[in-house]
Amino acid sequence: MINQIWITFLGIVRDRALYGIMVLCALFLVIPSASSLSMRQVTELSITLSLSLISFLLLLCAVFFSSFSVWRDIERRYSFSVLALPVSRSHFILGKFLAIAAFLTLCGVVLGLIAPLAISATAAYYPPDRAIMWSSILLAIGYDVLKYILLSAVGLLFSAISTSFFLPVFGTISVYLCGTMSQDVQNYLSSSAANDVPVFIKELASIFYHVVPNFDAFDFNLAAIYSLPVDHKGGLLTLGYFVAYTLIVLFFACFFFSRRELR
Amino acid sequence: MKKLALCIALLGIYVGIQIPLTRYMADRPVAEQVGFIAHPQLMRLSSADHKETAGALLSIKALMYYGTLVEEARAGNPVTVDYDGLYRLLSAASALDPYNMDSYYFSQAILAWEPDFMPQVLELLRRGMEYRDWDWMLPFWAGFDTANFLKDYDTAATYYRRAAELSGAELFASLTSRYLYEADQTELAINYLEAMLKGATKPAIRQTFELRLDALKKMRMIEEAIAAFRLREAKGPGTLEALVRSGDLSAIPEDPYGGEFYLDDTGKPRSSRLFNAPQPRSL
Repeated sequence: MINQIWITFLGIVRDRALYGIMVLCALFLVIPSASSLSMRQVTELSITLSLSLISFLLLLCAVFFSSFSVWRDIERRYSFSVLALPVSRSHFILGKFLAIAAFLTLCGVVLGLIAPLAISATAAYYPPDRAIMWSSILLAIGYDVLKYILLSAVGLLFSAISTSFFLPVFGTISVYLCGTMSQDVQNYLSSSAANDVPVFIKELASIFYHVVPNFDAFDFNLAAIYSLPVDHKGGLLTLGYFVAYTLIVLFFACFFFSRRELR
Repeated sequence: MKKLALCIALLGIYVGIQIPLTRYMADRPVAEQVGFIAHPQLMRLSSADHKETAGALLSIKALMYYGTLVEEARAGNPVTVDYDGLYRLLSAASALDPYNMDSYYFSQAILAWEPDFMPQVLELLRRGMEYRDWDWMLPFWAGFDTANFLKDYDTAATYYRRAAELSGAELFASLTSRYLYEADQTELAINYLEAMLKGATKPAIRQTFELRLDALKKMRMIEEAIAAFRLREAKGPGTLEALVRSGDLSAIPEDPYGGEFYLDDTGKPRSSRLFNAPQPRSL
C-alpha cells in the first residue's frame, strides 16, 4: 500500500505537475497590482483573489489527477502489472487516492505559504480597516484542500467504473458544480419565494441536495476575507462530513473496481 | 521554406485582423460595455466557490465603465450614463458578496446623487448594514442620503445615532442633533463631500466629488448673499440678478455641471443640473 502511494505520488510529480503549478503561481505576483483596482477594500480583494487562485489550482489538480489516473494506468496496461502482484484492487484504488490527497495537501501547503506574501505586500501599501486574521486564511485554505480531496475521491469513483476519460472528467466537473450550488438551490426552495414550485420538484431537489456533496460547507472564504469570527461548530461538522462522505465514496470506488472486468 | 512562408502568411492574416479589431473595440460605444447582467441568483449559482471574486469583478467593471465616461466627458464628448446598468452591476456584486464594500461605496458616490435611484441606494446600504455590522460608514451615508435628499430628518438622526455608536465619534452625535433641528443642508453636504474626497483614491470618483463640491460651494456663496440681502432689505431678492445689482454677489456663478443657477419659488438657490439633472441623464 505504501509503495502504491509512493509510486502514484512520484508519477504525479514526474508529470511535472508541480512545475505547472509553480508557473501558475506566477499569477500571485499580479495580485497586489490587480487588487489596487478596488476602491475601498484593496487588501480584502488581494485575499479574495489569492483564495480564488488557490481554489482554481486545486480544482485542476483534483479533477485531472483523479480522473486520469486509473483510466491512464489501464490504457498503458500499467495496472495489469501492478494487479498481478499481491496487491488487492481496493489497495490499488486507496493507494491512488492517498497519493492524490498527499499531493493536494502538499499543493495546499506550498500555496498557503505563497499567498500570505502577496497579501502582505498588498497590506503594506493599503492597510486594511480590520486586522488580517491569518488563522482564518489558513483555515479557509485547509478546508479548500479537504474539499478537493473529497472531489478527487469522486473522480476516482468515476474512474473506477468508466472505460473512457469522458465520464471521469466531465462527471467530476459536474459534481463540483452541483456541489457548489446545491446549498443555494436548497435555500431558495425552502424560502417563501419558491411557494409556486411543485412539491415533487422540491422533493427531488431535496434528495439531490442530500446525495451530492455539499461543497458550500467547506467555504470559509468570507471569514478569511473580512476577518469575521469562524463558526467552529460548523467547521467540526464539516470535518465529520468530509470523513464520512469520502469513506463512502471510496467504498463504492473499491467495490466497483473490484468487480470490473479488466482486459 | 514552404513552412516559413505559411507561418509568415498566417502571421500576416493575424496582424491584418488584429489591427481593425483593436480599432473596433476601442471605438465601440461605451454604453455597450456594461453589457448584459445575468440575474444575481443565477450568477451566484454559476460562480461556484468564486462568488467573492465575481462580486469584486462586477464592482471593478462598474468603476471602469464610469471612469471611461468621465474621461469622455473631460474630453468634451457628450456622454450618457447607463445608471440602470450601473445599479444592476452593483446590486449583483452585493448579492454575490454582501460584505463587498466597493459596491456600497460606488453606489453612494455615484448613484445616490441621482434622484431616481435613492430607494435602490438605500436598499443597498441597508443590505450592507445587515452584514457589515461593525462599519460606521454605511449608516453615515444612509443618514446623509435620507436627510439631504429625502428630507427625512428623523430617520437620518437614527442612522447617525447608529454611526455614532459604531464609531464612538462625537461628530455623528453632533450631526444627529443638527439633523433633528433641520440644520444648514448645504454646509453639511459640503462637509460630507470634503470628508468623502479625502478618502477617494480613484480619479473618476475624485473628479465627480470635486465637481459636486465646486457646485455646492457656489450654491453656498449664493445662499450667503441671499442671507445678507434679507437682513438688509427684510425680503428675498427674487432673482440672482437682483443679488448682483445689490452688490451682495459680484457675478452669477457658473454652474460647473453646465446648467444654470436660479432661485426657486421659495427663494432657495437651485441648479438646473445638480440633484435634478434633466433627461437624458448625463455626468
